[in-house]
Amino acid sequence: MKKLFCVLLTGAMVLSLAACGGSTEDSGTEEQKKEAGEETALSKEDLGTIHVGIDGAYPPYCFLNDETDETDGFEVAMMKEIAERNGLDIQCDVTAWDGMFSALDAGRIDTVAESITITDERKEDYIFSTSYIEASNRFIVREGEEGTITSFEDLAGKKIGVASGQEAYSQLEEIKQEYKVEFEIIPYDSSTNAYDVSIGRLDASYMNPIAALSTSDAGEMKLAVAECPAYVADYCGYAFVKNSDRAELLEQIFSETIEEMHQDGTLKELCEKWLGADVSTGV
Amino acid sequence: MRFSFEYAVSHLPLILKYAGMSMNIAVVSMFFTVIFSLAITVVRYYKVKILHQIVNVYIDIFRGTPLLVQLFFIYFGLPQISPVFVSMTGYQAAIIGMTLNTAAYMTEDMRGALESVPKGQIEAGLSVGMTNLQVMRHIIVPQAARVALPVMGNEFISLVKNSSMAFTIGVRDIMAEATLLGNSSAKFFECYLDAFIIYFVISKLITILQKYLEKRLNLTGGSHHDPR
Amino acid sequence: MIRVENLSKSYGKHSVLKDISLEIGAGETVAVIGPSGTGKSTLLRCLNLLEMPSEGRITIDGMRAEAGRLTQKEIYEFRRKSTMIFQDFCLFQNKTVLENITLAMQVVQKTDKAQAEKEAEEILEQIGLPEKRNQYPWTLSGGQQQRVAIGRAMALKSKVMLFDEPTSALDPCLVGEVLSVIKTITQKHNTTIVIVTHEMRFARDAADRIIYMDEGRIVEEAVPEEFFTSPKEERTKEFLQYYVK
Repeated sequence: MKKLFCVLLTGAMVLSLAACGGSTEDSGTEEQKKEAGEETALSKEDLGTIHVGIDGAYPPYCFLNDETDETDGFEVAMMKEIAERNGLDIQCDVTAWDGMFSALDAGRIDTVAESITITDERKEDYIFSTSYIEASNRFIVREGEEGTITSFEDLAGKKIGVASGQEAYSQLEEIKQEYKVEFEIIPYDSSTNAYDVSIGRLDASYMNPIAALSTSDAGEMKLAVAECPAYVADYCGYAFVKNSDRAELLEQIFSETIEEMHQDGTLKELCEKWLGADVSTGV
Repeated sequence: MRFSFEYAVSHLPLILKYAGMSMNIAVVSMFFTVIFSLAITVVRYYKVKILHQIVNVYIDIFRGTPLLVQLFFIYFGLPQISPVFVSMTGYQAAIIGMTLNTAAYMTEDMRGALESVPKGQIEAGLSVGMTNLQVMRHIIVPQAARVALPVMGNEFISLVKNSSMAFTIGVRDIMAEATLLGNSSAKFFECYLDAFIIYFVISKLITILQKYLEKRLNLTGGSHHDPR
Repeated sequence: MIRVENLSKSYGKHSVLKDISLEIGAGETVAVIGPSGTGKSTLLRCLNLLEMPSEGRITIDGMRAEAGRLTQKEIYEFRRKSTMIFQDFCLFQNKTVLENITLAMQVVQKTDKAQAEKEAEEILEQIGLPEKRNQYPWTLSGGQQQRVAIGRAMALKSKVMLFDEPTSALDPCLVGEVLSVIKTITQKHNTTIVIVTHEMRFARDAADRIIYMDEGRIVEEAVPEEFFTSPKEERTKEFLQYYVK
């Protein structure tokens, strides 16, 4: 009787998993092929569906279009362009920012379309495509308070919000060290901290100014970029896991395509259309 | 505040569309939770060797850690142990996580309900020649069910609410849609208000259904008056 | 019909029954009396295997149960040789009066529903509760509940019925109705009955034999007339002086 129960239960679970698995995903197949030890070089045709993680909560880079109920924005346009030029099947999977790199490590997604900054630390774990835009972080304050932070020394005693797990967080720690200035860092799970600046919970948010101002406009938050210059110039690229033929091939395709788009002016066009400025120039 | 009533109303249907996914997770998880809880309750009730200890460790672990951590562990952690887990979708991970988590609580409810049936009922059943299994089926379970049902209803409501965590492992549900829309339009209050209302209405409907079921059960089969 | 040989029962070091042997013939009614806590109920529960004997043998209707050597299947089979009536009735709370009587017939004896119900109706007539057939146990008085419990046992038509203080939990005014039902059974049917009771007058009237137990042993057994008028043992005399005014 007890045994029967267990058997039934296991059976039911397996069946349901099989049913769900069959209908939605095929991402396992490439890995399996690879593991089977086929040494023949991968080609574009072997890639199948390419899953790209996108959190859909970082306008104007990526956001949810409430008319189509699908992700939209600069990064989505980039993915469409790369897919089209290479005849690839790229699918944007909405993934919460919190789990983004875990999903990449776990092989659930191939790369991340979220304006990821290329850093030395990240390079230890991932390979990056050629960078496609500059996205340096700045301090975002309430309109009219631009003068409150003109240098890093002005940060003393302030409450600064930042998205955890992003490069911005490490930069704030470095600023603390380098300028010997004490301020409070408040980590957030996403870039929502701009809102908290507008309602006065934070003195400033350290983030991408284009994203901040776009959010500000949409939410009538009346935010502005503080006068303090960028700490470092950050460049964004697409991250791929190391030691994977599939990832290496994708990196190559992405890099080549970015180069092409750079040369024929498509990248500039996309930047201007979505981001309101050509941030591809310094790259 | 720049609260836009119009935005909240116009976007309610958009978020409501994802109530299906939230309910799907809750209902499917509930289904497996009930089966799984029954199985482990039997193991505990009859103190099955070895299995009984394993089950106790499982209950300890799943009651002693947050659901969010469990979901992350299952979805992001397991694929690093074995690549076979990579093909597990967020939806499946959510079902497994919620089932394991809720069952750890529900088995306690079920055990309490079973123990609430007086020992005399079991002996009376045995004395008229029934087997343990027959006593279980005809006497104990029907009586225990009456005690367990309201608690199970509450567990189901918890499941509906907890399903909002599935977003963190990539499932697009009510919470996901509200967060995405909120971030995309910077209208957090409107979007979360919509989510708030949807969750509340669902919970309320379940409570009403639960009350109705309880009433019907009581009409057809006895309250728990002590025979003495 | 019932033979008990060298039966002992202990819980750890605490011994409740000590080397009990006794024999009860078919159709005989035996009343077991004695002070509280002397193992009378335990003896009865051992006969139904609700308690497992620690040592000794019990034989009922030709089937033998040896302590410590029973498979689960044998326990079920042996248990079906007798039925038990409890002090606190223990009617199935989730079943109606009729269902309480028919359940074991259907589940254990595989009687079909219509037949079981027909027999149950007859039993309800005998115990005088036909109008209560569709009520739930908790709507009945204690006396009525105990009569249904007796009916539930009768339905199985086993050759042996065991009564464990059937009237102890009842208001004094309800004792009579239960005893009269039991008495009818002793008279009409050829059932072997063992009854643990504190109702001395009933024991005297209805029993063929009295067994007096004290401290886990059978101290004295005799026909009622002899037992109540000229007990042999000292302890029996003390007990009777105290209980029978």
